Amino acid sequence: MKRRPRIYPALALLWAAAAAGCAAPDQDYSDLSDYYRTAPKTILVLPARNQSTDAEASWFYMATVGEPLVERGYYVMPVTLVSEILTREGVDPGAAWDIDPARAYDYLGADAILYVTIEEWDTFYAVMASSVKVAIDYRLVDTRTGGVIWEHRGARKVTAGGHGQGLVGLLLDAAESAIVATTIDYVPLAAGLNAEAFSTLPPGAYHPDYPALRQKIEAWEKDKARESGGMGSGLDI
Amino acid sequence: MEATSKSAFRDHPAGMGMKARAGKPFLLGVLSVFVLLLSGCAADDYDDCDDSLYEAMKYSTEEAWAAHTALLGLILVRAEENGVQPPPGVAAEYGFNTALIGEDVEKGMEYLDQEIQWYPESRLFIEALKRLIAGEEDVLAMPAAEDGEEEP
Repeated sequence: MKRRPRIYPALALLWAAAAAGCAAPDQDYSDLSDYYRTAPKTILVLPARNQSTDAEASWFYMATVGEPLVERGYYVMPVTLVSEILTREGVDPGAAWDIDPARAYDYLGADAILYVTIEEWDTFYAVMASSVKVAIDYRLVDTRTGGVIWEHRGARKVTAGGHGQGLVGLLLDAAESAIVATTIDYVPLAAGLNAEAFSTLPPGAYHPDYPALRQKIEAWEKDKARESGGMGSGLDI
Repeated sequence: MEATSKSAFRDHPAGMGMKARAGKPFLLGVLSVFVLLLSGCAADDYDDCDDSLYEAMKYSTEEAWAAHTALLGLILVRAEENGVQPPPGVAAEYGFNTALIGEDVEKGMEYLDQEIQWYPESRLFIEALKRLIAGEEDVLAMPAAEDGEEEP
């Protein structure tokens, strides 16, 4: 299958510059132009591949992945409903990654598939403190070409503890460590990681910044087309 | 194929062979919507979906799924009150759960149709969900070619 060139790192930087309103007149929108040419409007999120030691890590991720993507301006198929369809089709969550991306476009209308690998979600316990180390790899794949159109790796370590010397301090440390290890605290941690990751994703069609950005890119494409004496292909999102 | 065989989310009531009962849990969940409406404390309902969905997936009880569904219903009510379109997927998830957990298929289908109205790009996905609810064998079916469109 033909793969598109990897464009994401420069793309994130370009978008950050554009969003800050500091884009120079000769701003190069090549990467964003390429990204939007794939028209990723609808995103299907597959069950995460969990390589961590925490069996529940997939749930933290799955419960928190949709909202920040929606807020980024994309139509996101609810993860529970996608899973129900896969189940009905006899596709085990572990085998979902083997599905040809083109089928998600043909049968469900997904423009892109988000593949997420939870590399680490490990809690370390100690007398004075405990910590949670998380690392997640994100890949957004165009369902029509199979090419990666955005990629991000997020990592974070959260530590709790350290209330000073003495018995009271030790007791507080132990209590706080227990709180950190409580799974309910993992939901905001996962939500924060997902939000941070998707902040590097160019805005989707429903994002308020999208129209202005699209205008800039279209103007840039027209300039490029004039320079080369050809016609711009335009954006189709 | 029996839908209960291996649900990706363990005991999601929708994975119970579509025979989940519209018992007290769901009614309690629906009632909680009105409680929240009366209390006026649903300022950031969409943000709360993370927690309610996690609770539903982790504990897999009818109560937890009903509470999550009720929160989705609250988001829809708030959106209507404010004259805005709800976020993508909310009406789809609410409609699907209402049809299968709440056993109100007609109402559930109405919300699924509404999702297509709000988000036309969801059409194929929603149609697959409707076939799943109807118990059809082929949930995934190739879309019919539009008029004038050549068959692949």
